[in-house]
Amino acid sequence: MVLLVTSDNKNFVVDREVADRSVFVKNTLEARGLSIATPPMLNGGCFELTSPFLQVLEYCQHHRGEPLPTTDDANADENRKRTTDIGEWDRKFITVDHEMLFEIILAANYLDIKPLLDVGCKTIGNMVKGKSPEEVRKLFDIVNDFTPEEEAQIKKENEWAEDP
Amino acid sequence: MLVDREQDLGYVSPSLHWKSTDPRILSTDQPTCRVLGDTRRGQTPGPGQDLTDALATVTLEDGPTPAVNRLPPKVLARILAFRTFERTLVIATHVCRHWRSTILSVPTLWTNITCRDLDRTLTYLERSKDALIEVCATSSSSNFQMRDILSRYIERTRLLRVNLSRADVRSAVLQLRDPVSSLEILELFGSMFDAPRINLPADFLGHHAPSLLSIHFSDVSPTFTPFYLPNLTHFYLRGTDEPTPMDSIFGLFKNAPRLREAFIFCRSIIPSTIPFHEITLEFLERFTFRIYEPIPILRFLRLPSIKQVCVELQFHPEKMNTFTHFLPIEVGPLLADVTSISCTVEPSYGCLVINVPDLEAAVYALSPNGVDPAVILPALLGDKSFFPLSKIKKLEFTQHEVSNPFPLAEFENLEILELDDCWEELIFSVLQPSVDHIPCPHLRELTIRPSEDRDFPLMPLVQLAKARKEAGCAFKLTMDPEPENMSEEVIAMLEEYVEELDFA
Repeated sequence: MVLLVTSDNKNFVVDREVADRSVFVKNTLEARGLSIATPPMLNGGCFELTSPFLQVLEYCQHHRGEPLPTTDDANADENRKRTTDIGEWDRKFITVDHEMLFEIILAANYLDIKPLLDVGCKTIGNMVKGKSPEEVRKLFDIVNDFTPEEEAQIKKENEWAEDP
Repeated sequence: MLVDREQDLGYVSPSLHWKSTDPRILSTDQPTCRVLGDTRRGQTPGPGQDLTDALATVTLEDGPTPAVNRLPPKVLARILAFRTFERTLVIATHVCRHWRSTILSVPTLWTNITCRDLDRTLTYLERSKDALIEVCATSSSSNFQMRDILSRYIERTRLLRVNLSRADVRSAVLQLRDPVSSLEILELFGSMFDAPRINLPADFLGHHAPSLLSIHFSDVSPTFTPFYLPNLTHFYLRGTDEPTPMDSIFGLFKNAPRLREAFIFCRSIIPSTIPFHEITLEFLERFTFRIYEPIPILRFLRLPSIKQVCVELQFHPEKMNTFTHFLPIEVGPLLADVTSISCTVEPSYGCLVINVPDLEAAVYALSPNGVDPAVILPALLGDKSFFPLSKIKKLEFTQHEVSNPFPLAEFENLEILELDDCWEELIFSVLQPSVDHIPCPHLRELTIRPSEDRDFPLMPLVQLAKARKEAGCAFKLTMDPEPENMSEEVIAMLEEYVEELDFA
């Protein structure tokens, strides 16, 4: 068992197998020579941890035991990029409001849980896909900070992209 | 609700502090380490500055930003790295300054270059900066583009996928003379209607391509003289009606010592003129060879790592009558350690398929004249020293329309036999002990999956069970499903004669 301590000082005792879904936690444990049943010192920093952390733990528990992606296999990375399909459980899991979605992605990025990060990235990609720049801005409350001249220039340089 | 979830997920009350017994580890009632999130990893808190201060600084610097823009740039880039979002990539550069600068600062997002029109191609080439690129030239790519790209950017091309069906594109490829030091994947395609015969420049596949990992030729008939390709692991060739020169293939085998997988489909070949001796492919694991004419290619190869061999003699109406042998190849050393095989007769192809699960080797033999596969097997296996059936311990047998008994008696050490939709009477008769001989004396498990379209021969099975029990070699019997014509009486008899009876 491993004790995980969040930035808001909440303690979670989880199986080592669950904790190891996070490469960050795994490396921390290994680098410090910690044995099972000793806690890593984990701090989330830039996000409210407990809430996304609960989501992340749920994800890790569901996917415990699955093979971890290898970091050095270029072919695996290439194959990963070719599909944006999301499994049924993952799709339901990631059906949350935008705020929570971003928090989960930040947590997955920080904790280095690539499969979860990919689920989040694919979800955002699917939301953006097929939308115009204006629709994307509206979707995410983004202000268009281009000047009209810049916008015209950008549109001109990418005219070829208008063709299907 | 939240409390319940927390408890489910292993939450421990903060009042229950864990006390460390390891001096290197802080107890949880002591301050935890201060590490900033990934977005600010570069900014570690300075002396005297704690995490709260650092976060406040970050918030003040950033000002109010949309939630999506709190994602680190590398995450935004990761979102757009998925291939299906390629068009979204361009749209995303129009959203805002932050998105535009982030996306344009990641050259690897712009490396997948499909040459459809010149503006698009040049934009991608420019934005990919010095990153390795993947160039895909379709049949609609113009000659100008191909010449330009191949000559100017070939040095940083990682993947080159070219449709050669247009003569001008073909000519651009054949003019390649520059080093392709970064090229890892080469894919050349013809078409069924215009399958070009090409003579690839020696330099192109030669010592100038040291990084090449994979070659894929489809509907082309290439002639090439490969130099040493130290990293090549995959070779795929689907030839055309033009004969494929075996010199090229042998030459490639000889010069690609790390080959792991090879697929060759030649309708016809030009026999090798080079006196090749044995070629060792130390790492070849999978080898598929489809041909119209039997050629003794395998006898030149030593394949110590082989896991799967599939040699298939294709049916060719015009050449049918020229077959005089089933498959004159020598696969013996490959199969020396086989301990389990399964056989399937495929009437539609007139093929006998022997799968070898332990080694996953498979040998296909064609029976153009309708010769019974049960006769083919010994003929195919030929010298028993090549394929010692006596070593087989498990046999899975699927058979249709076979009139002769399978040579089960050859399997002297068989322990497990699985029959799937077979003519069981024949098998049973082979396994029946005689006064002075017990076929397959070590058989201990018999699994039968009866056909649903005919009555199961129950009495021959009972007789077999009885005879083997009397001979001191009873077996465990599993039937899946239970035959429809099974009766209580037969079950009682079987239970008396077999070691264990099981209906799945």
